[in-house]
Amino acid sequence: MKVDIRDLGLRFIFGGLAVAACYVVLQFVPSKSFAGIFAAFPAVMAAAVIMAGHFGSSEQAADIALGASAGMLGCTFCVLTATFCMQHLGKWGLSLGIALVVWFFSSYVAIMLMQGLLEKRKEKRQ
Amino acid sequence: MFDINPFSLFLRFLFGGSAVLASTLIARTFGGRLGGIFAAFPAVYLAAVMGLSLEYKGSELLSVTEQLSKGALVGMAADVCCALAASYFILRYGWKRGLSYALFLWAVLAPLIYLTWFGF
Repeated sequence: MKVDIRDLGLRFIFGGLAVAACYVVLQFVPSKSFAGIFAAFPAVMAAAVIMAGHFGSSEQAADIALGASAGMLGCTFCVLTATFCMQHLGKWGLSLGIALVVWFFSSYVAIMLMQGLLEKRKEKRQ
Repeated sequence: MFDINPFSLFLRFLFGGSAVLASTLIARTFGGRLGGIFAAFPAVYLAAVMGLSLEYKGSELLSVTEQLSKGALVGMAADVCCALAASYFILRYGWKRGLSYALFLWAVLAPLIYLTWFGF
């Protein structure tokens, strides 16, 4: 496992800022759901693209961004499930647990599909 | 309602950053397809939801999390568009301008979808 301190530092800062922004908006804006937008800030993708662009090439950065859309689809299903379960089950912990299981399987399917698309794009480039 | 506690703010910053860091390290450990899945772990969302449990309890926690999740759902939809746009813009304009355009698109799209969906 290769650990790059700059990459990890960038992810830490982006992730921390997104959650902190969420808290600030939650205090200032009466609508709690609006603050939730920041809970979905693409912090990990931005950090990964910056690292790939800076130390690699724009093509690598573009591939990472395309690959990230698969993970984000999984995250969308995760949040959708959490919202649905909280409305219908009324249990906080259980809802988050079910949402994480849905996240894992939907991400797996989305990544399988997106990998095929990425390979096709790379073949076209060559 | 409008007072921001610096300690709470710092705690959330640490919490969000650590969650992203942990998911990255897990992703690197696994590698391959499984690692790819963990690289996109909804760390920021979960850290934000866990942060709510510091202040709210019981049915109030459930209600606030449900509301926050609605906003996050809008943000995630904007995320997918942002990532696809980033991939296109980066190939066209290079990674610096491409990523800036994509994040700008996210910042415009997320509130726009929110207002269209839920109103003011």
